[in-house]
Amino acid sequence: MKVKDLVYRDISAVRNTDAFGRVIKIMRRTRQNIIFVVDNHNEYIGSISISDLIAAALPNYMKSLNSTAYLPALEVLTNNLYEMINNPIADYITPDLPVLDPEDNLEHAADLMNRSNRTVLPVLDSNRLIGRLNKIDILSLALTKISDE
Amino acid sequence: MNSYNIWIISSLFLLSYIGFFWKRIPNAAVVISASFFVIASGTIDQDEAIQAIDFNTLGLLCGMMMMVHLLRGTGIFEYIAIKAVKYSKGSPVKILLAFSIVTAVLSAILDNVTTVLVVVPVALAVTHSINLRPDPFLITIILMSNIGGAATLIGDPPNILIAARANLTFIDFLNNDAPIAVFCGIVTMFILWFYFRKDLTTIDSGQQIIENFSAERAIRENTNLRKGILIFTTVIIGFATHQIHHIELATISLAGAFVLVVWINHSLEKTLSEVDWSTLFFFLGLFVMVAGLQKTGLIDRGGTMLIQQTHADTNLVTIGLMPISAVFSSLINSVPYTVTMLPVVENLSAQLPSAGKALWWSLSLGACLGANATLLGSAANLIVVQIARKDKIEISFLQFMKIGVPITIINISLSSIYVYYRYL
Repeated sequence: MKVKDLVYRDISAVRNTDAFGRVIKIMRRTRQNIIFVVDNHNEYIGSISISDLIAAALPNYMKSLNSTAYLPALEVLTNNLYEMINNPIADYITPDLPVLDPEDNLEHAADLMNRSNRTVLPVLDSNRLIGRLNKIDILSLALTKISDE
Repeated sequence: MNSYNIWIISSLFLLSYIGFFWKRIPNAAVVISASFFVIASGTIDQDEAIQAIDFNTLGLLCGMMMMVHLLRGTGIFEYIAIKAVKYSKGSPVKILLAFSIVTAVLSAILDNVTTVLVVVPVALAVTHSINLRPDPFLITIILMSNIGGAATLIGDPPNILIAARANLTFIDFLNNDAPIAVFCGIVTMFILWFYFRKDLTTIDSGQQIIENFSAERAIRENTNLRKGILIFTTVIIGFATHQIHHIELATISLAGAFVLVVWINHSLEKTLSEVDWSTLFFFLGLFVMVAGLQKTGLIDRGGTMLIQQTHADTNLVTIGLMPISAVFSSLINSVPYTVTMLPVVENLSAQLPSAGKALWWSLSLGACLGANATLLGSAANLIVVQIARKDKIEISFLQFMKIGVPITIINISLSSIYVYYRYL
């Protein structure tokens, strides 16, 4: 089986010029942890995840601390998020996420997901975003096979 | 040794120091490449190169790096820093004092790089939470890490190198370097308080915010912490009692590290991956390069010329070595400077027996304290700048030198007076 047999085409994407705040709203509404980013010509640029957004909002020194458990309750996260709310999302994109082609086989797709530690990958056709493939969809193939039998 | 070898070695040293400045190529790659040419040129042979490598120094560093990594995982160093800050009750002056003392003490028992990696993020968290300007605290941490590191054998790489070459013990450093390092630390703290006094105005809500820091929650692995402290303390006692058992410090350090890894059931591969191998290879390459320099006879000739020019004036040479060491250490990093000077001082000690060990203390204090004059003085200095830059806090070269140079001049002057009256 190939990626094109399992690709989920009804997806949301955001533009690289969209504001940080708008992207959070879209991700919340669509309950997605990762959302793909396209340019004005609908060509794929990269992705942005919840982790990326939180990492962007946290001060860097927190990433150097072994633990933040001992910090008092600070409004650092919310204050920073508020300051970033109108920034274009282009500043926070992860550009090097692996991508899939519709003609790729599923074994390759599964391997790429494991290596990149991702649960979803974009599917591109001539660099245009046409859908996404979730890890759970690959795993669910086994259940489909069992119920067919 | 013919002039061909002298030209080769001189060129390799010059190119290496340019490489250290340029920073595009890692220092370890620079010196290992240079070492290859030292051997390939026939200046020294392979056996001489191997003999030149001080495996005791490398083993000591490796063992300490492993133990410190394991202890870091327990959160003990953050606990110490937060506990000290809480005593300040939110007073910026006392916070500065707390970070000064914690940095100096930790730097005396850990390496400077680990000390700043632990203390700087805590300092940023504290200053951020009570809206204090962070750069006074970061500059303080840089300065106190170098001063604290001067106090003990294991506090700073130059001291480890000097101890191995001059057969100085852990207790020797406590008896000779530590008193003046402590005094310089106290004087420096006063200067810093005065220099930064306008940035240390009390914040109304500061006390409440500082009280909400929980030092106890910094500790993550209680059982491992107890084991780690026990092993580390045993290792330090082992260092201090070297004159009794004569076991090399590297043996004690590595034994402690591997026992700790097994006892807390930590992954050996992961622990070994945390060792700063590029620093160890940097040392290794420097040893070989300096062996080549020594083989050319340049060092002996330089030492003899110096003795002639100073008319074998022990006081002049001993005291003069300190500011010279401080200047070079601040410009080209204390480690390569110290490795280069080891055979020079050894040569001078042989020609000026009345100096005793004073030349070594001069080199130690000059190299360690000199690192405070510029940001280039030690790797830890630059690491603080890099961490700060990630949070858009800039500490410029000039900004640092404005306080670093005067403090270095004062500390070197005090140390010179100390060396003169104590040993000469």
